[in-house]
Amino acid sequence: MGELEKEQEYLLETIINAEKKNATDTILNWAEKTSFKNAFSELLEPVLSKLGDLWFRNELSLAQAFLAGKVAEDIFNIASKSDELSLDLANPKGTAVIGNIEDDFHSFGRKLVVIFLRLDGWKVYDLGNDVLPKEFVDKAVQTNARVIGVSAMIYNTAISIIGVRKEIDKRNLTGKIQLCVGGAVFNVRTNLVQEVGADGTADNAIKTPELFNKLQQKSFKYE
Amino acid sequence: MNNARAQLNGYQKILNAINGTPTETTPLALVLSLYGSKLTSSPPKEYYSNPEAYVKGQEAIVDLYNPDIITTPFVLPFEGEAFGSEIKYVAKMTPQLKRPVISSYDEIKNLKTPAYNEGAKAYCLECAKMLVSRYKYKNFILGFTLSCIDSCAMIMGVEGFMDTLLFHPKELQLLFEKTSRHFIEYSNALFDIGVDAIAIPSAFCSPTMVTSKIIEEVILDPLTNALQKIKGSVIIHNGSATNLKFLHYYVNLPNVAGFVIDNRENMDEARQIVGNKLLLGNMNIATIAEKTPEVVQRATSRILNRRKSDNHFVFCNAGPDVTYETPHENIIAICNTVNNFKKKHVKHKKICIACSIFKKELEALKKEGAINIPIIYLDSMLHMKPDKLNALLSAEIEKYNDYEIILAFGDCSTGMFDIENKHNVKRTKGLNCTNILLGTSEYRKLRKEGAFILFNEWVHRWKEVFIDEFGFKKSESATLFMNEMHTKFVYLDLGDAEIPHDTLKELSDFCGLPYEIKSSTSEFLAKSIFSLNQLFDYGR
Repeated sequence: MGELEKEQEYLLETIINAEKKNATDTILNWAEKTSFKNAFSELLEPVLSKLGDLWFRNELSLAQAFLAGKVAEDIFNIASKSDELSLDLANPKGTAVIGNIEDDFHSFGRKLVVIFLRLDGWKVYDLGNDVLPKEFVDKAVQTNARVIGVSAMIYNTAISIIGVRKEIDKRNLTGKIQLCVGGAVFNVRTNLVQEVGADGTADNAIKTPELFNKLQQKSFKYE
Repeated sequence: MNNARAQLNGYQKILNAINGTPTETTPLALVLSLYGSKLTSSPPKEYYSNPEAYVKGQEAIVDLYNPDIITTPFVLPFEGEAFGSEIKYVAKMTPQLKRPVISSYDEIKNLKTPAYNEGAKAYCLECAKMLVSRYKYKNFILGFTLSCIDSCAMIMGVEGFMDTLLFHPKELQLLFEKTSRHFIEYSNALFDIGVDAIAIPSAFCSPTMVTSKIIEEVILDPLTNALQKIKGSVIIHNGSATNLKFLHYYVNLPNVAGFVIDNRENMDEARQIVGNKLLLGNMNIATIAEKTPEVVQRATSRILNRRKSDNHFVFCNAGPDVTYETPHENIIAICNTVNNFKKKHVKHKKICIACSIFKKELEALKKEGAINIPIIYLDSMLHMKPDKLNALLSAEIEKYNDYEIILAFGDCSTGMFDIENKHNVKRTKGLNCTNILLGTSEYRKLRKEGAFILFNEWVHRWKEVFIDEFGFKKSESATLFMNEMHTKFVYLDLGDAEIPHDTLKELSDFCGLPYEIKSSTSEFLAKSIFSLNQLFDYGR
């Protein structure tokens, strides 16, 4: 096993065992040896991908996912102040608008999504809880965002996401702005993604950047 | 629909499931707390703030579906509201947590533990009181609350609580102290009102949310300490999470009587882990909401078939409330399927022969429908003449030779052992009438205190007992004797007769012993008679 694989394994173990400082130090040491970009792409991203799979298989608790998010957030905050990454942050890979739909106040998943998207190089506008359909689309238009991510935890709020779909379509932005949905209810009721007219959903917060990248590519075809 | 139900009422069926006594049909519990709002067209803001609106909704639930379990409001954010969190009333849903009262561990020190009976909690307690007054002993009444663990998420939000849980052990301990006090006080208030058990949705005790290390190092101790101070039975509810992997942690915690199991998990595996505890589950709430009545019926049948030999099983939806958009026909499909899925049932003629000391209580229970067999009484004064009691009892048993006989007696005659060994006779558990009425632990406590326990009937007949039967012709001899053996009289007030203060004073003066009044219920007696009744029907 090479040094990198050993470090990946150790990082995974520290996150699973909730050893936040050890996890953060491991990434920072690797960044010092190589670069922040390498620490993200070679070390943190493969580990996050493994964690995402574990989460999908119900083998990762929310506490462990939260810890992974906190580690990612800490690293991002440190890296964003470095000379190496400040230029990248000025040129994000994409812009996204995120929020919980009207009457929904379950912010935990959304906040994790924001962390993982930022770490992946996205510029994210987080509108918070209880956001009206119109507000999502207004912000997306204003910031030239290609993806709107709407979160909801329960059926009766999730169903209001249809309003975002209608608002996008009404303004002739179908396809140009992709609608992504997430939250516990979408994992339980798989038809709901189609029911609300969404373009996609991710299994969990860690897997969101992968989905957003795909949706952004799709949106470019509507230029 | 009610005609199709078994003869037992909901309360009796759940009691059976707790005891493992088979029932004619599988007990049914659907979480229909919210659905009452839909049935009565009561907007959630009204429904979840006015107890009368809530109870009207539950009456509609009972009229239409008659589930064996009915519940107090199932609104988790009310736990946060009690501590100062902001909630929002939303159409067609339970109130939502809008803004937690604190969000960071460093605010915990200033968090005040609220009174258990203010704000939304006062509303919930009033709902419980009204449900008890309407449905006690008819339906099993379940109170919903969050434990000292999960309520933290309603006070801090999930993120704030998770951060505290993982990184701030001292503050976490302080938080648990505050939530424990509230959890214990509120739960015990529910039991004082008369709910039969409480259910605690416990997502933060599940592998969906935390690791086994967190359970072992952080959660088990405060949860155990709080549960042991709860006055009644507790059902650990899955709270929409999978909990099978962690059930072993909770099986032997104090007062835990059962578990709600998620629809994604295997009930057979759960049964192996929890032994003879109650298992509730595991119908998918999305199936109920989205599918056709035919699909719902098939899903219900599958679960019933898998659990047909499980006498500790209650059919229930896993997770939260049945949703607003769920078609009424789907709920009916579940009820009909459960009620028509019959087990073998043999009818017998039964009779109860009881000591007249229990007459008031048994007649009251009969009136409430908790007992539905004929009862004949023998004079309680026969207690003083064991041989005569033995002869009379034997004669009665001979007379009802082709009946199954329940004896509501203590060990009041030397021949009781032979009598109760007859194949068609079963006797209530207990050394004497006090033991039968109070249960063993409370009885022993009073005996240890040196109490001479009095029932209403004996107080009115005290002269017969103490002067004619015991032979104390003068107060001096009674005082000498009674003080040698006892420290006080304790009058059991079962709420079915006026307390005879004057007569008690007279007796107290005559025997030179002070007296106390102790409030109690006839719940132990009811449970005992009911269990024996069922043992006859379905065997051990």
